[in-house]
Amino acid sequence: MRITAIAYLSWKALRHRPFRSLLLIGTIALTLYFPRALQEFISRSEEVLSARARSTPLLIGPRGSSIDLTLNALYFTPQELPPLDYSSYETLAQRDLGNTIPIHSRFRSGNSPIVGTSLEYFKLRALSIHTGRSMTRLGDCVIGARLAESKGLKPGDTITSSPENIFDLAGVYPLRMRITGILAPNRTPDDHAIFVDLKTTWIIEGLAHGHQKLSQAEIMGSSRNSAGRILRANASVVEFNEVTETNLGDFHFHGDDGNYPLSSVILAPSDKKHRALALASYQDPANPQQIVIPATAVEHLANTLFATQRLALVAFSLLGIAALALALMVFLLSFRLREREMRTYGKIGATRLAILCLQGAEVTIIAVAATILAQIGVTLTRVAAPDLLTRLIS
Amino acid sequence: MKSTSSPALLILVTVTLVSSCHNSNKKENLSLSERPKPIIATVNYPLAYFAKRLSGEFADILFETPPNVDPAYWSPTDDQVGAIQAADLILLNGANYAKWTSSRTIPYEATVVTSSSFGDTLIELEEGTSHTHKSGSTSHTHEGFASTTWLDLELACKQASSTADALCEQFPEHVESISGKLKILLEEMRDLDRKMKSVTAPLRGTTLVVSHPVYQYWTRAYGLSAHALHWEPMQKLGTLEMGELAAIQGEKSPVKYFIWEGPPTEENINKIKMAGFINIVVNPCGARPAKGDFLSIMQENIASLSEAITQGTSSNTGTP
Repeated sequence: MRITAIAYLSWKALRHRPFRSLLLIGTIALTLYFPRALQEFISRSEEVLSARARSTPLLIGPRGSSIDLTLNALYFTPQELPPLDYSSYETLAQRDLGNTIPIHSRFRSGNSPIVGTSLEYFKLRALSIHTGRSMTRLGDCVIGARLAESKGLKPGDTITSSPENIFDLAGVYPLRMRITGILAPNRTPDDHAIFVDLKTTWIIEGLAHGHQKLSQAEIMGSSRNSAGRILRANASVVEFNEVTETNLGDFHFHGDDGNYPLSSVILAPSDKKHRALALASYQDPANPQQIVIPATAVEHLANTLFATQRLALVAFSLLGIAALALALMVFLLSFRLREREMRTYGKIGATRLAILCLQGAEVTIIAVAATILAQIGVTLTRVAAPDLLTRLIS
Repeated sequence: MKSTSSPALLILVTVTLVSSCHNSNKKENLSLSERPKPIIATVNYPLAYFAKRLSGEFADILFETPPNVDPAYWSPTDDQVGAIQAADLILLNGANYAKWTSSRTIPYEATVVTSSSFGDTLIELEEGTSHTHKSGSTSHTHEGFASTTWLDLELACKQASSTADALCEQFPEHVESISGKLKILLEEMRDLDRKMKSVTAPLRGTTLVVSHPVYQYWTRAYGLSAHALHWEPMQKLGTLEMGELAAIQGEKSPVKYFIWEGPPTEENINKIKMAGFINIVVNPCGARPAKGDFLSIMQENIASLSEAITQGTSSNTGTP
């Protein structure tokens, strides 16, 4: 029997029972896919995490979990640590150790993080504006490409911050922010974020606000204290929930800005000496702040991931063996059911070897199809890993 | 065919490589010579003047406030903010000067507050109504610090030095030239400071009336006392304003001198004269002057004060 004839007969046999064939292909493909995809996902995630960590030389934040601090600064995960005060940032900036970039990522708009920072952040991450322009005033924001695409947003539209607690009726007003630009996609968490001036996050936090002038007629009846110098504004004073060109001048900050909160500060030391000086100055355990090398923190995280991966691989291997044994049993049972068909092949002149080849070809077609399917899945997983990782982390 | 095309291909590749190297060298040289000058953005004219004097020709100064607008209250457009964001260095005055800087986005790393070396000596304003928004919350006012720091020429020297430090840090290749220019600038300003001290000495113990509350540092530096109004040189002075002036004259004596920020109208000059005051123009020079520069304007202020004091002394002694 010729090889083409064997292939033709095998193909016809598989097509005759399509459900069984597809089930076998699917089962074997998944058995092959899971361990390989897990390996690929973890390896790609480690690459992506390390790349972002390497582009963040040093991180200063409150003492606590270095991984929490790193993930909050790099992936804008919910802030678990207490805030850092702005005076710490100013002190660090005055030491001239290198570029200092503040990060305040406590707030969200829906699921998207609102990141208060300075314009240097865009240089550090090599982010460029694809459409529109950079933020120029309080209440302006620049958003990531994926966020713009998913919500159909463009420059000139607005986006509103979400209240932290919907039951806090006396809490801060949500702030409606003007979108001035859309960033070019760079396949990092920045694609899903909303970037604002640090001061805008303080407005969201309620530390700065704008309201109608207190000399206006509406509040003339407001009470004064005994000294006559403190005017207690009543509820009729309208507080602005959006910054516009008209009310921009009415926004003002309260209290000592040195006490204003930040999540962390990225420090890009100007040289090795300044890096060493920065590392040394945070070694005192009594210091309420810590310095973290994000690459090291990510390495620790990756080691944990690898340990988890090893466990998962053992589980997948056992499951895989079981699944392959089941598939083998399905093949054997199927061949037994087709014994009469095989005997007919023998009667019309097919040799024993040809019949074995026929059965082997069916197994091979199923195995090759499953392998190709699994490989496609693995490739897609590798491509989607950065986005998947961002979603999983944040 | 194969044997003949290979050497030809090799020659072609070599020629292309050599020519591309030559072109890239040319481009590099071009980009070096045609590289745009660094930009230094400033929030007021004195800082623009210091930056220009200290940088010479190696940098361009960005100070876009229109001539008829006080830079302290200027509000830049989004495009102007964009241009400032692109500057290599942004010099702020500090002391809440140029309020737009607190509501606009400017790069922190490129920003230098030139008054930070004397931040603890800034004059706090007592004006404005304190108020609270919620019961139990902290009261506050919307006022801050007096901001015309450079009218105290000693503070102006400190601001010039801070400007020089910022320039040296940002452009280390020009340190020598900046230091040399700073020395000359400081000498000139200290000389003016000495002259200002000497010319204002007779005004000590006299209450001055100033048209606008912008002379706090000037009066503190030279031991003067002034009552501030909120008048513009071009505004029409009515009965209300003249009544206000008469009340001051009644309260405080001896009062002789009325200081304007800019040249007043002829009508205002006469009204102030009629009220028994001598008009003096002491230009704070926050905005770019139409004629002259920072030092020449300060020189004119000194001359104007000297002339007025001479006039005041002669009128006291009865000379017409």
